[in-house]
Amino acid sequence: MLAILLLAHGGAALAQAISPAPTGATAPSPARDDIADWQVRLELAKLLTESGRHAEAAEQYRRVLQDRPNEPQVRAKLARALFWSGKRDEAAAELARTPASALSAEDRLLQAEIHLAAGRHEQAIDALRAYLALRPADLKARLKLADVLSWRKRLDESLAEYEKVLAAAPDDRQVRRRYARVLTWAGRNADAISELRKSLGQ
Amino acid sequence: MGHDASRMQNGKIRQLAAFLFLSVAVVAACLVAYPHIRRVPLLIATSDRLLSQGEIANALEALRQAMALGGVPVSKADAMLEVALKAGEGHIAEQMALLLMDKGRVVDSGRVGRTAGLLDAAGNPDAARDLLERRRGMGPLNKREALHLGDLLRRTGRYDAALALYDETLAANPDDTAVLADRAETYLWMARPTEAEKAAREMLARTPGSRAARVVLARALAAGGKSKAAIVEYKKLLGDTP
Repeated sequence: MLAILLLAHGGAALAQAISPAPTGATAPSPARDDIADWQVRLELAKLLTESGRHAEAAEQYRRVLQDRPNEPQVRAKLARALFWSGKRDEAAAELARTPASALSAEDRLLQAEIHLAAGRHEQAIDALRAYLALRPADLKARLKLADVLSWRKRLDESLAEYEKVLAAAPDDRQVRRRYARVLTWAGRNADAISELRKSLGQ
Repeated sequence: MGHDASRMQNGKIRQLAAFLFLSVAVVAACLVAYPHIRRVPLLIATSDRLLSQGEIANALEALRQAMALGGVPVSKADAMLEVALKAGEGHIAEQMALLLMDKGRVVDSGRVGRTAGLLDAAGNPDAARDLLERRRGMGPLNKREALHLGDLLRRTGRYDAALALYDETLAANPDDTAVLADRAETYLWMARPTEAEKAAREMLARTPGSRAARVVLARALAAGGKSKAAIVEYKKLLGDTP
């Protein structure tokens, strides 16, 4: 009996001891004599970016990619550095080469900015939608999407986006006036007048 | 008199009955427990065999069953630890290492280190740290394990304990660049870049060709807001013209 009790107790204690624990933090890369050049170059590129030396940062990211061509996050960083150094087309090309799964929300927004600057509205809409799927509460980006949709005459979709923005920010008069303008384009003049009156506090 | 003799006889009978009952109970307990106790070494041997056949999931299941039976004998804990390590099962390895250490057995630093590595990789850094600290209490850790423990201590904000560990490790190998680098970099974790820079410069003076020292120096300069100087150091390291 004693042996059975001990067995049962031991089993319970072991089961308790192997229960899962909280996840820990990720450690930074250690400084070692055999540290790879690409790791050092990555740190240099980050520092150059932080120092506003974007063209040099882009060069360093390119050299990292020569050693590590399958690092999509590095490619996204290269695109960012290219964008900030004024090379928007090259930035767009690098983002296009990056697998969609590796693009962060910020990368998507950058992609949208690049497409907008180049007048590629349909691609900008796709990028903004992908961004908003990850950051649905970003009203500024949603307003931009509403605007771009209206420029492409996709008025119903545009109005739906404006309505989402106004639901979150009903007192924003400027947004309401832009909404009213798109209602006019959609031939809904009575609704537009009603919205304009609201924006005037009537 | 006759009455007393009868009472004594009844007492003896009760004693005998109690003795017999306890004997039967002990034998029954042994009969019940024996197959379980026998199963533990069998399960460990089975697990080892399954592992050698590449059946990792089944091997681990056998080990788990052995643990569920409880009372793993110390003589088998060593084998079980080895099997768990081969199979990459951190929790079982941890339990076996602890069992051995509880019994006063000094488990090899490398095996404890491999166990801690598995626990850390599985998202259980606290268990990894505790295990390494426990082992350190029984004797010095090898450099690799000391570096891992230092990192775990830093990650939980125990910077002074990490520095003490690095100093202890350096006492045996004063020019070890990995330990010197982690020690210097601990000041960065503590948001003390000036001290990190000083430690990195001392390290460079001691080991002039060390890339690790130059990396820490560059990081310390960057953290201290000396970005231009840090960029120069990174470029020196890469052989680029500054």
